[in-house]
This record gives sequence, structure tokens and C-alpha cells, in this order.
Amino acid sequence: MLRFEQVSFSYGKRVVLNDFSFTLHDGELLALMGASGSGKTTILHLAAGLLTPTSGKIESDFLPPAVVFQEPRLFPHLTVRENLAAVQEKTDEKAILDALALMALSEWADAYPKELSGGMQSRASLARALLFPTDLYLFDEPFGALDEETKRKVLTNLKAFLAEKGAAAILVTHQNEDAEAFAKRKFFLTTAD
Amino acid sequence: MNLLKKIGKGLAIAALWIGVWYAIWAIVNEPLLFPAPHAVAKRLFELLGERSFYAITGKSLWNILKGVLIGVFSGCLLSALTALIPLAGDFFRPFMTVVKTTPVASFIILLLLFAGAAKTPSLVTILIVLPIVWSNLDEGLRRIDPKLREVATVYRFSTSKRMKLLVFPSVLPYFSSALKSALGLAWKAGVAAEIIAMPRGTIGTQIGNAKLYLESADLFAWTLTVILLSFAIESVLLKLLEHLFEKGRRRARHASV
Repeated sequence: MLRFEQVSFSYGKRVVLNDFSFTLHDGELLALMGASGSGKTTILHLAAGLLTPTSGKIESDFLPPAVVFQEPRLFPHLTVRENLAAVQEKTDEKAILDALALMALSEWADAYPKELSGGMQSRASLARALLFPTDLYLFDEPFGALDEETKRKVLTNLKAFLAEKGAAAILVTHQNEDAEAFAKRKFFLTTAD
Repeated sequence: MNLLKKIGKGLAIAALWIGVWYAIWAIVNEPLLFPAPHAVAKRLFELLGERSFYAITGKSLWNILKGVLIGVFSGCLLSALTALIPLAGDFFRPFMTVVKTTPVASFIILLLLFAGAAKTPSLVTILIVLPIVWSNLDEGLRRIDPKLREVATVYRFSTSKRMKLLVFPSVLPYFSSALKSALGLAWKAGVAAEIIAMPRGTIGTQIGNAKLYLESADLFAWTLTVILLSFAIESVLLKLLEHLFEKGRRRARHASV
């Protein structure tokens, strides 16, 4: 379980979250929606421990989460396969190939990020997250660069993967149909001010 | 074919410059002050036949390489320290600025007073190399992509994985360019220190003596020796580093797979 209790967060004087509370249960898939600047990414970064709340409390029984950032953030000097292996403690070649297959990237394992399109890089970033040993996944608008057909395929595979693992996930998205397809519960954020 | 073209081009440029040298020699028309290229080449070949030549160049080479090695090593250590403790960076930054802007001659004279003639060339070389290596590495460390830093944090990279995948790839180009600048300047400063300090049996002392006794062919021949040595050392070291970096990069990749 992940619990935010009256969490506030500011970037300097700009208040992004004000007394924000919510709970994510084990195995739950949640879609986080809201206008730009409403604090969706901040919530993911707080949950990942990349930011510390100005006030309030964050409690988690989950393992350290895997995060898919808005940008793919792949290591440019490593191939796709090497980028994926980087998050594993011991290289598991089969798991890497499975993750690549789930994201329809099997043929691009030995390509460098600069050789991939934006959508492929996003999928490689998703595949990398799936290899991290965790029970909580945080996805920050990961489908932005994907075409409709690929997005549907990736969403289906992603949901099947999470269901099989019994893992929880938060998906930040602007698209209502993505939220509907991914999660049973949707959470709408309004701006702090 | 490409190599032949390159060699041909190089030879043509060299011939052109030797032509310029001859032209100046003819205009100056003072062989005692400005020797002809053939006189310098003859003197250099004479020197190459003398045993003392190798002892002298060996000593200067050791003085300068020792300074470069210590300067590079302490520059690396210091940049690691200032990256870990920002306050240490604030403390050392003014020192580095002072070292960078102080005239080399001032250092040479100061060190000559405190450390003696024998140690001055190496110490001056250290003072020239250290700030270059430190500032370049400092810049390389600052340029590590903060977004990739977050990836390393989220995915709980170990320290060694962080170094291999995050730090080294960002820092290596800066390290390589620091070495290039440092090596060139190290020769200039090291030999200048030898000329002023006149430690026994070094290239700088030979240049100093040649100047004193107006032996221009000697002066030019020793200067040419410095240029050739500097060029050879720079080429060999940089090729070696390139090879090591490539090997390291490959190993880093394999370690992560």
C-alpha cells in the first residue's frame, strides 16, 4: 500500500500540492489525471523518492518503484539490450527478450537509442521498467509518442504483465480513453491554487 | 592511397615552412643569431650521435612526465573530492584561479627559492597540469545529465554501475581534452623552468647555455628536440588513452549486460 497523508509540496514559492491525500492499494491500477501543472508528475516523483514533501507523510509497503519518465531517458552510449540489463542485478537474457517482445522491440535489441524513433525509445523505456524487480510501477505519460495501434497493443501487454505479477501501478495521462483502458479507478487533480 | 596523399600533403607543408625558414635566414643574414635549417639539422644529427644527448633528454622527459603524472593524479583526486563535497570546491576554486593566472616565471622563481633547481621543473609542471585537469573534470562532472542521474537513483544503481554508466561516459571526453592541453603546456612550462633553474644535465640547461654562448644552431637543435619529443609523447599517450577508454567503455557495457 502507498499512502499520501496531507502531503504538500512547493517548488520555491510555487505551491504544487496542498494537503494532498490518497491511497494506492496492492495490485491496484490507478489513472492520475488533471490539467498541466496540477502536480501529477510531482506525485510520481514523490512516490519514487526523487522529491521530499514540504509537509505531510508518505508511507509505502511497496518495493522501490520502477519509473517510466515522460522522456525515455535511455543511456545514449548503451544499446537497447544494455539499457534494459542495466536495471537488473544479474543479467537475465530471457527476461530481457521477453520484455522487448512485450513492447514489440525484439528486432531493435542491439540498436542504440539514437537509431530509434521517439515511440520506440518510449517502448524501450517501458521495457526497462518491466525488468526492475518491484511491485509498484509509475508511468508518466508513457504513450505520448506512440501511434494508436501500437499504443493499444502496448497497453494490453502492459496490463497483462501487471496482472500476472499482481503489481500496482499509477498511470499519469491526459487521455481519458487511456485512463479507461488502463485503470478501474481514476483520480482527478485540480491545481493547488 | 589516402595515407600516401596525407603523407604527401604533410611533406609539402613541411617543405614550405623550411622554405620560409631559409627565406628568413637569407634576409637576416646573421648565421650566429639565426642559423640555416641545414646547420640545425647537422647539429641535431651530431647530438643524436652523442651519448649525453640521451641522458639529457631522458632526464628532462622524466622531470616533465613525473610532473604530468602527479598533476593528473592529484587533479583527478581533487575533482572527486570537490564533486563529493561542494564546500571543498568553493575552497579550492580561488586557489586554482590564482594558479592559472599567475605567470609561470613567478612560480619558477618562487619554487627555485624554496625547492631548489632539481625539483623546480617537475613542481612547475604539476602546477600547470593540476588546474587544467581539475577544471575539466569538474566541468565533466557538472555536465552529467541530471535526468540520467534520476534514472540511476530510481533503479538503485550501485556505486560501480553509476561510475561506469553515468560518470565515466560524461567525464572521459573532458579528461581527454584536459590531457591534450596539459601535455602541450607541461613541455613549455617544464623546459622554461629548466632554462631559468638550470638543473644539471637537462634540455633547458642546454638551451640556456646555448643562448649564453650564442650557439644558435645548438639552441635551435635542442628546441627542435623538445618539439619532437612533445609531439611524440602527446601522440603516444593520447593513442594509449584512446585505446584504454575504448576498452573501458566496452568493459563497462559488458559489465552491465
